[in-house]
Amino acid sequence: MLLFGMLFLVPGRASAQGPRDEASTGSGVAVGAATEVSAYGDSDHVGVVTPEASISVTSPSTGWSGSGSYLVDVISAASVDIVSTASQNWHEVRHAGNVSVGYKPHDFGVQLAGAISSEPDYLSLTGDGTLTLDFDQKNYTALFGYAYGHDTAGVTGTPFSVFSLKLARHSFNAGLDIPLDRSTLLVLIGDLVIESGDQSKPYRYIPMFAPDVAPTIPNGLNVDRVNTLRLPERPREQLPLNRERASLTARIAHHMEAERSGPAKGCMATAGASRHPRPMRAISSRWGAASCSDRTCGGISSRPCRSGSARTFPTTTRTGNGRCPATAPAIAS
Amino acid sequence: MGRSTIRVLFASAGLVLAVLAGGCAHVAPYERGQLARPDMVAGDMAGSGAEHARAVREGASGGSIGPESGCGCN
Repeated sequence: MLLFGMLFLVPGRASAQGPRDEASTGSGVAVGAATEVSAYGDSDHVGVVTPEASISVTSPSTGWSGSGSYLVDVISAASVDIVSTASQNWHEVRHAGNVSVGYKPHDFGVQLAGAISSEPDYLSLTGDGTLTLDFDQKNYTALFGYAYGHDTAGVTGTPFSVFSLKLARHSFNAGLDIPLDRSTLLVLIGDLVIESGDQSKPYRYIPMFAPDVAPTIPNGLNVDRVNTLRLPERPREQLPLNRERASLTARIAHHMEAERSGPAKGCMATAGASRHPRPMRAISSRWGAASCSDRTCGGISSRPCRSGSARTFPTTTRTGNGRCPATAPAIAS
Repeated sequence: MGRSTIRVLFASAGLVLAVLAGGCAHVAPYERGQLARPDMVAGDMAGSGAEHARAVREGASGGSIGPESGCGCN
């Protein structure tokens, strides 16, 4: 199935450097705020609008930092999944937020973070800790992180105490930042995720066919025909109770001079190549290019290599997005 | 771990080593002006909206630092 998605980002950003109070603490505080709105649509009749707001506070001299963000997913879906289970077109709102605090006075730093995602039938809680270490005069930065996530899936309108499926997720990651030269940065990140629990979707049923009919069913048969040929039994989807994921990410960011004037000034664009997600525990990758210009900047970054699972059929997606940063008057802190 | 996965891992490691073999320069602190720019980040430049859409369609995760909460999106 061919899916086509378009993402439009309309961000606003404002940041300010607070005055340095040399008389009292001798430290300054930087406050940053950003907004982003993205929209997604595809040929499977799924539409999502996602506004997001974030804020960050940093004290470079003392090493303290904090950040938080909040987003809302407004979802409208009438996908094949929905039609095949004879459900109505549905609309849903998902609330998600995360906060983090960090302390890095010198070469060693620690960061703690938490995230929550809440929907009428799904609740996800995640806690994360990351250690960072700079060495060779900050020419190399290593990081090690661990996160624990606890997900609860249910059915809309039914309390979790009556019906729920639990999923525990342990994530380990390690990374290394390497400046290749004064304008080029290489980032390597490795991830290992161990999941245990039932990840089956309560709304998803497996069509059953008679032994003499099943061999005649081709892949991608339309929903109406499947409903005509299937048996009345509708067993619920049952996925493996344990799963491991591994991924390797490599990013190269290179600064280059970009155009200083013209309509593209200040605008950033990214483009994603089409890709086919591969079965579980395989690694897929793609390359993207990005350029930006506020005054003089530019960059090319590679997309991450990541592990994934094609739960249904292979799909092809194409995405594109663009953003033009909007500057705002400095905010006094 | 399957053979194809191992091959991809080795190929990726080889690519990284090839890049590193090209030479890592020692960058002095006073030469890191370009590297300190806000757009020279370790994270994905696509933004959280695109990242989430990609993760949901692919069922994929990883490649970024920081907590990623799940959702019943796929």
